[in-house]
Amino acid sequence: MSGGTSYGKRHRASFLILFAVIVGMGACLALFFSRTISADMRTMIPQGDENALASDLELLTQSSLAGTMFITVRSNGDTELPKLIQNAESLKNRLEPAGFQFFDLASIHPLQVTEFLLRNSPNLMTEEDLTALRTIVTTEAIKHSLDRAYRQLLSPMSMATKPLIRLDPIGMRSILLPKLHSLNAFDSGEFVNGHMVSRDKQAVLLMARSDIPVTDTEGSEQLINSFASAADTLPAPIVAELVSPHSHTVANARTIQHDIPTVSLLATVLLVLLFWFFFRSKDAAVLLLVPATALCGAMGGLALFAETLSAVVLGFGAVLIGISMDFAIHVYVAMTHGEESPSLAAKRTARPIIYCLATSCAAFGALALSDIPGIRQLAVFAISGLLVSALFSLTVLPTLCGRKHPVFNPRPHSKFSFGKRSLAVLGMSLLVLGFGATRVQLDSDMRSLDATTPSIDKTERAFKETWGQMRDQGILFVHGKTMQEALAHNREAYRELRAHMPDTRIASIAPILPDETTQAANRASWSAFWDDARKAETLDVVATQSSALKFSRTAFAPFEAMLSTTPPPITPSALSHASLEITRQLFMPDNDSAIPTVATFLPDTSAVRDFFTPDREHRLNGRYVSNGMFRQLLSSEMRKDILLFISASGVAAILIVLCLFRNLRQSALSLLPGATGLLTVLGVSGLTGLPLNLFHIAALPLIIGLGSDYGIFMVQTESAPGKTPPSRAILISGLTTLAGFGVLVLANHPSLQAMGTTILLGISASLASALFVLPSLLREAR
Amino acid sequence: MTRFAPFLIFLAMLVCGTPAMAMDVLDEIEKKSASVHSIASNFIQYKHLQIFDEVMVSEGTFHFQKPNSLRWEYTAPFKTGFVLKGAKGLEWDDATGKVRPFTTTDAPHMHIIAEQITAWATFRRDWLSERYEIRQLEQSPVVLELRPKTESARTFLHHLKVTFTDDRNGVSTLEIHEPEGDFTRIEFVGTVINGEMPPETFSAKQ
Repeated sequence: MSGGTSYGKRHRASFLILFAVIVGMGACLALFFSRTISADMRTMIPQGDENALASDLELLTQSSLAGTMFITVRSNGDTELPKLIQNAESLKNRLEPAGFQFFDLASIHPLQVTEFLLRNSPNLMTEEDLTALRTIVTTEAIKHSLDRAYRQLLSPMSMATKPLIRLDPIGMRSILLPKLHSLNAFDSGEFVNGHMVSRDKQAVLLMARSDIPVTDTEGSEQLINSFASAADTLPAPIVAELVSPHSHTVANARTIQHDIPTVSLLATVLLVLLFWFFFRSKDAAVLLLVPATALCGAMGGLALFAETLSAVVLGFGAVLIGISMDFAIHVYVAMTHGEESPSLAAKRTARPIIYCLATSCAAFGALALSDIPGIRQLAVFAISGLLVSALFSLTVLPTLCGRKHPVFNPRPHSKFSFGKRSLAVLGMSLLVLGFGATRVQLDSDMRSLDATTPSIDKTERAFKETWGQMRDQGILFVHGKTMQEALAHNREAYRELRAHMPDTRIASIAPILPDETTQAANRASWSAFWDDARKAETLDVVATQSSALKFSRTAFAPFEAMLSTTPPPITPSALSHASLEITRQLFMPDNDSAIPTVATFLPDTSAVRDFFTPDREHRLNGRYVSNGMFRQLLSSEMRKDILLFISASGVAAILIVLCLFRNLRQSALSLLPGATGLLTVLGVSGLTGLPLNLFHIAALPLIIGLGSDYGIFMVQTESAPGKTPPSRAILISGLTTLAGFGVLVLANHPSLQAMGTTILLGISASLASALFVLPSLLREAR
Repeated sequence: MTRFAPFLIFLAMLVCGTPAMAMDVLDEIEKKSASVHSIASNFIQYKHLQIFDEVMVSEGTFHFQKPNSLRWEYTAPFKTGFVLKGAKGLEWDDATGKVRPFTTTDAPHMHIIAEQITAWATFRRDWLSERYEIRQLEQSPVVLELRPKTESARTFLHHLKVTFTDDRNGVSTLEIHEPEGDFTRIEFVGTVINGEMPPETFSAKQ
């Protein structure tokens, strides 16, 4: 009877505890779903000094070329340019209904632009230009120019050139038209009849935008499919190739869609096999509650600290599921297999578990020192999950599962242990790995976290070969309180660049849109140049020479009127009237901050990066950003982060084990598995030349934390005479970790694969160190 | 009803007659031009431009051979011109005394000029209909008026007036009218259809 009452009480207690756990999980989930989840990869970018990296990325994102879809219509045979252009136009017409909004380069009318330049000669001609002008107002030069004009007017093309000849009989166009070269932001192409054409005239470039956000997988897929269908209609040998961020969205989504079922299935099968092999009891199913509870706890914990949650961080949920099992496995194995009673066994595991919790929390806590917002969120997420997991393992699990069960008993650890010679070999291996660790390279290119396809790679390589570094240009953004102030900074930047880097290709709007102060100075110089005497003399020469060629007396009245008129200053909106609206959009991007901004496009070279020193940027009130510079800064921030993670988590782990063991040797031994795991990851990376990216680095604390846990459990038995080290619990927890997310190494997505590689290498080495090396050292110590 | 019949027939003729005739004539010209393999002609060009006090007269020669060989040359008052074979050509000017090679990809404006001349020489009806509204002004000799369809072309070209030879084998005069009233009249004289054409016709020096 009393037995029955006791059973009933225990059953009721279990029910109440389960109920409390479910309520807690519900509360966590409710809190979590009240927050916003963002898939923005910018959460994984270090903020840098004064938030520099984040604002650089913002600038790059807002540049007119960011998010642009580039379509190359290429001939793989020998197609005449007009035919190629005609096919490009028909492709454009087919794509417009599918949401492609094309930049209309054909909207630039050369005659309109030339007339705009001529009429604004007073605003635009610099002292340098006036020096050149001096050489074309001589009698001989004017005679030559009028003779050329006469021949042009008799040719079939006269219709187009006549208004320009009337406005400019002396050939000022030769001074003004080179200013348009500075508007070409593309280094490997030229404009032909309103189309961007490659140097070999075998490719035409179309540029478009879309309202479909790059993060919209379904929309991106539709966009890509529409393109593929339209491109299929082009006649051979003409083909069309699309370079777009949407292609990457689709490729990433497809890769992850392929990876998740494969990896999940494999991980599930392995976990089921492990559970069946080691536990052979339905009671062990209670262990599955741990990751679910830990995940809910982690989500709730993160939601407490952040309003907007990073989807990238939530992707680490799989990692947490793997770690959270470990504490529970130790408790379960001790309760079900040890010689003591289940409750005593559970109590005995409490101390090492608390210390393991402390080391893991310290390892993940180190992530909170990161400059990367997403990594800081990961710290909160992981620590919350670990706390819930430990709490559940130590309080709930013993209540729910208290009977002994057969557990597979691996061979005694002594059989696996190493001799002195083997230890020496191991020591040498660690030395080699240590050497490798000094050669670790960091991969700070965010593109390497992107799941691309051979077809995307091929298209992007072909794009680069045809159009050069068009997509990878550096951009100088200058700002001002007013647009005129920004234009003044822009003109100064252009002047400095021309003076210091004369051979560098500079795409700037400064030559055709200087600030109003500069325009006023130009007008003053123009007036001084065209004093009454020079004006009268020039008009007289034009009249005399043109009369000899039978030109009418009023033929060059527009020229005379232009010399007598002072045009108003050129404003940005004036560019639109000159069919240069697209140029305005390119160089004066509308940004969210509404701060007047002007852009200059430059090659992404180290010379240009070095040119824009902080002093210069400060003076110009500007910022030079480029992918190269961004990678450089990111690399430096990642290096700082990696040192910070390792040193902070290392110091914390040392302090915790010193506190636990109060013995230097035992502390050092307990840290051995974690250190071995870390050294293996870094060493293999350095020796194989495989650079570490953000996802490798984010998984490093896990190696330190779990490795230290293995060490603590092994070493703590040394202080308990008669106890054997918990090799089987460590083996099971290590194998579940490897099965849970070591299988990610088989994923195709680079970020998942990076994490999987780190875990597989690090945890395997930690596990081997804890199970095979540590027992020998412990025995040696005894 | 019957008393209205002649009026209805007259109305139908007004509505449909002219275009139907134009189509017949265009068909005939297209058929005849199919048998043309080469054209050699002299021309006199009259430029009625407001910026000149006088009508500017120039003379030259024009040669065309199927499928894509073309020579257009001014011989007076100065010598300048170009030859084009396929995508490759040469241009010259006595002011510089130089002969310069070009390709239609390097100099797309030459492609446009050549395309226009070739379209007329071979009467590429589809090509012309795509770009111009075609109206027949006279029946004998046939005179067609072509107005550009695109806004951009209309900014510098008001219309073309083309007069065909009596036998409808080729163009006898071409007038290019600009929006502000200037116009150019080119008269083709001494035209030889399918005559022998020495190979050096399509080289820079003849």
